[in-house]
Amino acid sequence: MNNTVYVDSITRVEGHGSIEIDLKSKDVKLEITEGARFFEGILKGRKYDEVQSIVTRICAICSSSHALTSVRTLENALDVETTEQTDLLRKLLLYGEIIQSHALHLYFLSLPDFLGYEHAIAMAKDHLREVKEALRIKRLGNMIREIIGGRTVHQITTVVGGFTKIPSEREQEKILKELRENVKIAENTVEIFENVDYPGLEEKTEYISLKSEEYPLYYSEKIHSSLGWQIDVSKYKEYITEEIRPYSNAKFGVRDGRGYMVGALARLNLNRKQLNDKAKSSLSNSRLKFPNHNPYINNYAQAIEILHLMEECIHILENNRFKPEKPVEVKPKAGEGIAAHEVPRGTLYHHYKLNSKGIIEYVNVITPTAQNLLNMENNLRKIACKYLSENNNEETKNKMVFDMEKCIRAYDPCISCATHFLKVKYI
Amino acid sequence: MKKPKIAIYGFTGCSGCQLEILDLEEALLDIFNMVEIVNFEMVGIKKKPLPRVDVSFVEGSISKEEDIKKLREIREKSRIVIAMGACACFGGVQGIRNFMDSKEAARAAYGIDDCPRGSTEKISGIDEYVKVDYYLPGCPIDRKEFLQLVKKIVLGRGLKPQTYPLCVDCKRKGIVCLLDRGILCLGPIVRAGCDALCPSLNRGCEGCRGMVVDANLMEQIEIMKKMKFSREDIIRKLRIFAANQFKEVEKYL
Repeated sequence: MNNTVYVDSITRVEGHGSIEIDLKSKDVKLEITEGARFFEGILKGRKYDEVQSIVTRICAICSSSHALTSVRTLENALDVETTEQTDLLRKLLLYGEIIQSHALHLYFLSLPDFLGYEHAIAMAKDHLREVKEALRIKRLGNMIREIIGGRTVHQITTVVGGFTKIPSEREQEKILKELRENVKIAENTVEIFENVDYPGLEEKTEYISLKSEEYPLYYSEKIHSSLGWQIDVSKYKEYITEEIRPYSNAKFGVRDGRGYMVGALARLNLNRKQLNDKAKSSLSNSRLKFPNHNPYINNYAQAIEILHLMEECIHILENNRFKPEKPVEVKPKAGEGIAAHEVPRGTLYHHYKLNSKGIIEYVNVITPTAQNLLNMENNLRKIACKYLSENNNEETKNKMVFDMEKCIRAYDPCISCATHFLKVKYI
Repeated sequence: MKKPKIAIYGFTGCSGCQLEILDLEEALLDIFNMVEIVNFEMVGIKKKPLPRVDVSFVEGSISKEEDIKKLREIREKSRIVIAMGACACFGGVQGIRNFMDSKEAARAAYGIDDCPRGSTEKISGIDEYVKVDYYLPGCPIDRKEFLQLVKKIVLGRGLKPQTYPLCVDCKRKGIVCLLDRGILCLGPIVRAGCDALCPSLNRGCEGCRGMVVDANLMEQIEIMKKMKFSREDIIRKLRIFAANQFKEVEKYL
């Protein structure tokens, strides 16, 4: 009899991945099967002003995250100082992206699991109101991406030095109006994801996120951990190593040989005191307690972040009026830059070296999903131990696989991101 | 009227074209009423064995040997195959690798000289292996264009590509020519249909929709040379989204 369960192609995640479970040893392998894309390779030899067009294509769901981290890395390398307005617009763009990404994940990729539907379209038949509300909130995030970045997927206006186009006053008003009208939906979202039935899975791990003056969902130069340490982002190579797994096409982020977690749950565990009022009060009245060590609660943490960000965007737009301005001028020179942002799924690092003509000679990108893979695998092993015994009938196996898929989806993995640095399979 | 059966597949890429479809948001629910979507993995709709359909939209480039087999099966089971997005049409950004030393690319990405086992030698659009009935280009596709295409399919109308360059849209929208402003732009040789989105945001066209039919390539090169762009600058610009296709232009350099 075959002792292995193989779940070919996990659906409702971004990209291609599989799970292999050894029924005897209860070992689980998370295989990333997305095809090779060689981003570090294809960026070599590119001029600094071409990088943004290419790196956005690492991932569609978080293209602004890559665009913004990339331009900031280049600005650090080229000593470019941008304006305060650029900073605010970049924040809005990233916040819009996070709202969109979290809404897509929560309602379309995750909620069908909890309500017992195969997919969101089937769910829409019985829960049309929820699906329509989800679409509204997703559209709001996309509207922000479109107005500020020029397009919902693969932004156009974000360049080294600033923006090639500034939203008009009318467009700013339009975003503000939509935000105000959708706060209620964000509150409903928190309620829905507080009350769904999460499987019990307690697994303490290390949580890592950027550290900032405000709730960190943007650029920062400091990083901190639930183990108490704090360090400069520029020293990222001292605290994260990337490991190669023979069975996977993506590198795994590792700390001292162990896994760790980044993303909404990690951010909430570390920085929840910095949330805006509405999100903070929802959290303090919640039946869920923090710090929380159940990875499925990442769903709830994302819902809280949507609410936090709606308030934050309203605050920015009520207190600022953006004026037309051109990107600051950039002079190519040799240099090295490192930058990190907190993006939908966790901390994203870009690192480049440029020659005197502004041509890229070295690139390293570490994505949130790559950092979460080892932790995900550990969680899957724990689920396998919970279900498997000497005799495993089909029903047990199906339940186990369902919990595993649900667990993977809770992390909201972005497999295209993780495999931009695809790994060789040694067989 | 019988609802057409539609399948959406994704190979190697960023899933941005599938996301553009999801970004139709409320219109998406209408699409699900107009057609029967039998495969759309990103949403969780997956059929095995692959279903027979009227139309398959295929996203992503082909970069793994095992994908070729699946692609051939998709072709065999579909009345119409539509290449969706720059990756499926021309290979997309990962196609840049075709113009590099593959060992160097692998070393930069993985620190090892070999490409992953099972990788195809060349990264290509899907027409390298199967017949394509229609190209829906762009990086990503324009979701409005996708919606129009679906409407045409429902009505049983023919699908016809744009046969004029992006410049026409710029003129129509009254955008001051970017080439006149000293910005490198491929608009004169690129297939229209995006409503000149990048030029309208003060960015030169980078050719994600591929080459227009009967493009005046020699003239485009002359203009860019007159603007004092170096041979290297021009080549890099041509090798972003449709490097495989724009290789033809390099002959005139």
